[in-house]
Amino acid sequence: MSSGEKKPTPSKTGKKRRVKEWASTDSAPASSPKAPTDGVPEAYRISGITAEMMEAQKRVHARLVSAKAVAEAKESGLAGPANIVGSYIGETWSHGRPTGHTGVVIMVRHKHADQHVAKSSLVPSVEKVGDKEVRVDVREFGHMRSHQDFRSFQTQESPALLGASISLLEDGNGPFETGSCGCLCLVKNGDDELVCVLSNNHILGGINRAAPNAPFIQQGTADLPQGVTPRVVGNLLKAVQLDLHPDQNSVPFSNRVDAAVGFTAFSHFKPSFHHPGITFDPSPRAATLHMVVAKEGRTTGTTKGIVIGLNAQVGPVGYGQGPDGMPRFGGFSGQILVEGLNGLDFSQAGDSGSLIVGLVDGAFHPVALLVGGNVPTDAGANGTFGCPIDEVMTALNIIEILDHEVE
Amino acid sequence: MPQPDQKTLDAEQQRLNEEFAKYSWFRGSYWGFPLGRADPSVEPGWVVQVADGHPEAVEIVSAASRRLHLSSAALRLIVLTADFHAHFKRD
Repeated sequence: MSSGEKKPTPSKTGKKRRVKEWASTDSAPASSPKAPTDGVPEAYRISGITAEMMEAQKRVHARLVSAKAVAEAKESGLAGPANIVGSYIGETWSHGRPTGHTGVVIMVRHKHADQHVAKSSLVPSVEKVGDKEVRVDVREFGHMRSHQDFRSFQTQESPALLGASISLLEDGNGPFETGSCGCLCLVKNGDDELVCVLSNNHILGGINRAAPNAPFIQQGTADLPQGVTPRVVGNLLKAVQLDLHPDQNSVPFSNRVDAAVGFTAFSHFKPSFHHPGITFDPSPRAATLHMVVAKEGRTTGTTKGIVIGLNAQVGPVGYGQGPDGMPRFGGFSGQILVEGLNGLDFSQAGDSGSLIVGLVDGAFHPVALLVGGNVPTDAGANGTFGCPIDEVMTALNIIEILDHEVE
Repeated sequence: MPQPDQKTLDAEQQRLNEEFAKYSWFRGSYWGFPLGRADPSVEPGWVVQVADGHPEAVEIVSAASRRLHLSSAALRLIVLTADFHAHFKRD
């Protein structure tokens, strides 16, 4: 079944559903970012981006790829619009070094000397917007290719599919971790049903450190090329607190889930898998031993495995170092254990937050949320563990996992 | 061997915790098959996870298996040659 072809799900009671989606300028259900008055989203403003920069990018890019520029390049045989692959607002470079100044960056396949570039395609060094001068830079990026690679989902996708790279937006409290979008779901919030992304606390909740309503981005920080403006796609709604300890020798099996949801919109995420072979039925199921499972995650893409353990205690589980430099460990109970098929890893670092789906009656149903696994070694078998989906849904007030848009 | 109900699973796991929690090599337990040995022809059972580098754990687990009278016919043991980590990617 492909997303977007189903009719909106009617309410079971006949009442009109109050489904709400995130918008970058909307107030979030709790405290909301200040509404911008000049068209600059708050997340951009935090990054030092001004309205003049956004206007300059629009003007310069439009001029460089205009019909006039195309005609001139064709007539002269010099480099023209075909050499331009995009533009962004970010740090400008000079003589091979970042300048520390933000401006418009024009992305080209190859940098040419001025005499080899058609006049209308020459990139200015500044663009005047009102009485403000915006710096303009040119950077060579080579040929851009779409990343239709089932082996990893580390690129920017629009809309992003399940398994795509996500992280919190860096705000000085980081560094934050990059993981995967598990699925889209509806979270009950008063009378409203909020469209949300499901992932882990250690991705969307910043391992207990995220500020309320912290913005999150797609692609995640670990995958974002230097100088590219992060794309904010929602705000943290709720994270289940993790019980963590600094001493790995005394970690109780006290956690049941590592999960969080972020408020988002269907314009940013599509509730379907990349691989057409995963027939997705969003009704959750309990995992059983030997169940064939699959997942899509940022690092290893589409993988399959089998469930080899239930009611698993797992710990100590490493969560890296905290801002104080101390290590953090958590212990879990009630987890499911998965082993990859054919000796391959079912998951690796960066696949956190993937939805583990199990094959039941010809369709793959949600069974667990991927949390972690063994660090691969040559000597040991690699196991992945995840928290059962019913406990995740209860902890976060998720009323429905989605396989299509609802209104 | 049918899978015990949840109440039995939880109760037996608690007994395993009480039996092995005093050992620094104990890394919890689960119901199923040892990693790398999920043979469908073999019955599932309790698996005790043990940290690497403790050969004494084999005899201790085996002796406990004879004493504890759990749902599984025997306690299996798996040595974790690598610890678990949350699967995030940092920049």
